[in-house]
Amino acid sequence: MNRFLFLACVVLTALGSQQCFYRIEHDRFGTGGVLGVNSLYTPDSVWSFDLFLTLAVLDTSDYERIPDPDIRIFADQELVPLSITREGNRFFTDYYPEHGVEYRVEIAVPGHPVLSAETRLGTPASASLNSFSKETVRTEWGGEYYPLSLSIEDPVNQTDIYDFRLEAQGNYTSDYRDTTVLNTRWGIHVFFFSGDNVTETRTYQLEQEDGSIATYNLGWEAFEFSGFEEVDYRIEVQQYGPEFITYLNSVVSQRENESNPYTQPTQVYANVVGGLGIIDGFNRIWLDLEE
Amino acid sequence: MREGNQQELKGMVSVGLVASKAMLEGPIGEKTSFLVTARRTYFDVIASPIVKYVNKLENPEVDLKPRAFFTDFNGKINHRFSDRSRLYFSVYAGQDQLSNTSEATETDGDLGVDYISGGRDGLKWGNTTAALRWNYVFTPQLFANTSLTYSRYGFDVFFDEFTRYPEVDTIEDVFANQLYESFLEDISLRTDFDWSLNTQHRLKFGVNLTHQNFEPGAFSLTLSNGMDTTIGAPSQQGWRGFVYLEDEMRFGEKLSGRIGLHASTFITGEVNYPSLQPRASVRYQFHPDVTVKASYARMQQPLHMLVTSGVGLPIDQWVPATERIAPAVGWVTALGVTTQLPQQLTLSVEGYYKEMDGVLEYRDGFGFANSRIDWQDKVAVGSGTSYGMELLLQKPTGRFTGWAGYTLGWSWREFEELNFGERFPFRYDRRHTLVLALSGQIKENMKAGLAWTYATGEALTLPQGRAPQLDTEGYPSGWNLLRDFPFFFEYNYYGSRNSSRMPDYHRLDLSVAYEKQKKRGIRTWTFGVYNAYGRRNPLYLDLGYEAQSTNGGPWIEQRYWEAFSPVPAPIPYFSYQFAF
Repeated sequence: MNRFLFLACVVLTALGSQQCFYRIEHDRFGTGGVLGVNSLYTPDSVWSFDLFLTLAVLDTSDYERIPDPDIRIFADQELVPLSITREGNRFFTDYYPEHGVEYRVEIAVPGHPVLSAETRLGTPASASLNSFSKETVRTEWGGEYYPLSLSIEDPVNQTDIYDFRLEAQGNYTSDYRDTTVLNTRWGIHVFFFSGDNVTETRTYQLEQEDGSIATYNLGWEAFEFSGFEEVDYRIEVQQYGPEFITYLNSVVSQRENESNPYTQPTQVYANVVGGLGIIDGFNRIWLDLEE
Repeated sequence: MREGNQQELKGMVSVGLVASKAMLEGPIGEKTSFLVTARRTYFDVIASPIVKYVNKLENPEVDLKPRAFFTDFNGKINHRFSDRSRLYFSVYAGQDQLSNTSEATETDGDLGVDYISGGRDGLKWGNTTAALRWNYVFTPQLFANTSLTYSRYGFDVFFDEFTRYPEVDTIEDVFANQLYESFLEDISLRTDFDWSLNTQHRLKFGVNLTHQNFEPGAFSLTLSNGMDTTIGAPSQQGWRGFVYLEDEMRFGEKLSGRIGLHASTFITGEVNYPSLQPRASVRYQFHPDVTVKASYARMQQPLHMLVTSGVGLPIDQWVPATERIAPAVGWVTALGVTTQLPQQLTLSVEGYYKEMDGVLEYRDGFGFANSRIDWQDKVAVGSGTSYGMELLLQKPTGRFTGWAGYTLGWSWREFEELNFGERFPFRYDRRHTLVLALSGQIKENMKAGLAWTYATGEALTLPQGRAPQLDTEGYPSGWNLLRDFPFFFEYNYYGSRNSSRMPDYHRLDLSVAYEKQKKRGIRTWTFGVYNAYGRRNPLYLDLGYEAQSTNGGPWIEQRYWEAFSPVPAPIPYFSYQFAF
C-alpha cells in the first residue's frame, strides 16, 4: 500500500512539475477595441488626427480601419466649420490652429464613447543665434565640428542657452553632452535643414517626478553634416506643450521598465477623455545660418 | 505558543512524503519546562530529480535543479520562580526559499574543449523573533507582563551567473553574483498591566518602547575580476513608543464594553509623529441567543507595506515612516451580531468600514529593485478605504465539527499622483473569500478532514491592449519623431491601475487519519491529497513572445500569456506520526 502511494505520488509529481508553466486563455485580459486619437498640431499646418482602436494584447494583426468619424473643433467655444479628408486612419481638417485659443475637440465614432480633449497652444518662444563659426574645431579624438550657440527665450521661463556641435564628419555621432540643461519643462527639438535635406537631432527636456529636469536625446545619431559647400543651412527649433512631454515621458518610462517584473508598470499618459491618446501642439521657430 | 509539559517528557515525530516535523517537551527540574518544534518541507528533494529527468528529455545539455522549501523552528522555555513570578523565553526562526539552478555544457569552438555555463536565481524570505517575557502577579487582581522582543524580517533576491572550463586549468572561472537584500529589525521593551478593580471594571494599561532599524534594500555585485560593490540607500532608524489605558466594563448581565486611549509617538531623525488613538467597543445581549456588538478605533501605523502589481512574483516590502514620509493613520468601525442556531451552530455577521491616510504605493515605473534611487522617491502618498462584511458559521462540538467563513470586501486606494487621480483597487482587494473546514470522526480511530478555500484573484496591472504611439510621419517638416526607436511603434494599454485580476484561487485538501494506541504512545497514519482536484492556481503571470513560421512563410510574432503554478496537480501525501 505504501509503495503504491509513493509511486503514485512520484508519477503525479512528475506530471505536475511539467505543468508548472502553462499558457492561459488568450483573451482573458482584454480584447482591445478601445478608441483613441493622437494629434500633434502646429499653426503652420492643417490640423490632423490619427484615430485607432486598440488591439488585444495577443493580437498581432494590423490596426483596423476606423469608420468615418464626426470630428468637431470648438475654438473659444465656437464650432469651427470643417472639411475633412482621410488617408488611412489619419483625418485631415482644413483648419490651421492658432496660438492662445482655447480648443475643445470632440470625435464621435459609431459604437464608441465620444472622445474629447481640451487644448491650448501657448505663446511661442523666440530664438536667436548667439554665435556660429564656420571654422572647424578639432577634438582630441581627431574629429572636427562647427560650434554653434542658440538662445531660446521661453515666455514661461528665462532665456535658455543651448550649445551645439555640428559635426564636421558626416558619419560621426554626437550625444550632445554640451547641451546646457536649463530650467524648463518644455521639450526642445532642433532640426538642421541643408537645402532640401533634413538633418536632425532632438533633445527633450522632461520634468521628472521629483521636479528635476532630465535631458533625453531621442536618437543615437546626432546628425550628419558634410560641410558648408553649396547649400544654406537652416535650424528649426520646435517647442512642445507640457501635455505632450508628459505623454512622451510616460512612453519612455513604460518601455524602459516593462521587462522588469519587479516594477510597477507605467500607464501611458492620455489627455483624451472617453478613450486614449494625446492631443497637444507645438511651435516652430526657424533660424538661418547665414554666411 | 503554549508552555512545555511540566509533568513529563513528551514528544512527537512525524515523517511524511513532503514534510517532516518533530516536537519535544518536558520538565527541566521542578520549576522549568521546555517545548521545541521543528519542521521542514522537502517536496523539492523528491521533485528535483524528476524535473531534472523530464527536462533532460527535452534539453539534454541543460541540468535543472529547482529548490522550493520552507523550514521553521520554535522553541520555548519557561521557568517558575514562584507562584507569583514566571519567566518565558521563546524563539522562532523560519525561512522560505524558491530558487532554480541551471547548468549547460557547451563546446568552445576556438579551444575545442567543453565548458559549463549556468546560473542560479531565486528568492528567500526569512523571519526571526526572540522574546523574553516576565509574568508577575502582584495580587490576585493585578498582574503584569514585561517583555523584551527582537524581530527581523527580510528578503533576498539573487541572480548568479558563471562559466567554468573544468578541462583547462589556465582559464579561471568567471562569475557574477548579484544580490538584493532588504530587512526590517525591531527591538522592543514593553510592560502590560491587567488590574481587575471590581466586577464592573477591569483596567489594562502599559507602556512600550521600540527601536526600529530598516535596511531599505542594498544591491551587491560580486564579479570574478575582483569587483565587489554594494549600492543602496542608507539604513533608517526610528523610535516608537506608546502608553495606553483601557477599561473593560460590565454593567449587569447584558451590557459590556471597553473604552481606551493609546498615546503613541514615532521619532525618526529630527521628526516626531505624535498620535492620540481613542478606542471603544460595546456589546449588548438582546436575547439569550443574540448578541450585538459595535466598535470604533483610531490607529497610527509607522510601517508601510509596498507591493508592485505587474507581472512577476508578488513581493511585499515593509518600509518605515521617515522624516519625509509620515506614518499611516486611520480609523475603523464595525457592527456585528452573533446568534446561536439549532444543531450547536453559531453564526456571526459583522460589517466594517475603514479609512486610511498616508498609505503608500509605488509610482509608475518603480519597484524595489532599483537601489540607486532612494525608495522615498519611488513612492506616492495617498489614502485608502476598505469596507465589507464577514460571516462566520461554526460548529465547534459534536462528532462532526467545522466552520465556514465568508468575507465580502472592497479595498480602494486613491492618490492624486497615480492613476490620473482616479481611485483604484488595492493589490489585495478580494471581493469574495470563502474558507470551509470540516472534520469528522468516522470511526473510533479514524478521522477525516476537508478544507476548501476560495478567493477572488488579486488585482493586477496587466496590459489590456496595445495602442499605436503618436506618429509624426507625414507632418510638414517631414520628420518622424520616434523613428530611431524601431520598437516604439506602440505601447501597452493598461487601463486603470490594478484593473485586471489574477484567476480566482481555489483548492480542496482532503485527509484521513488513523490513530492507534500503542504500548509507548499513539501512532497516527495520515493520508491525504493536497489540491485534490488539481486546480492550477497561478503564483504569477507573464507575457511571452515567440516567432512562428508556417510552411516556410514569413516569421510572425506570436504572443501568449503564461502562468506559473507551483502546485499544478493533486499532490498525494502520507505521514507517519508517533506521539509519546
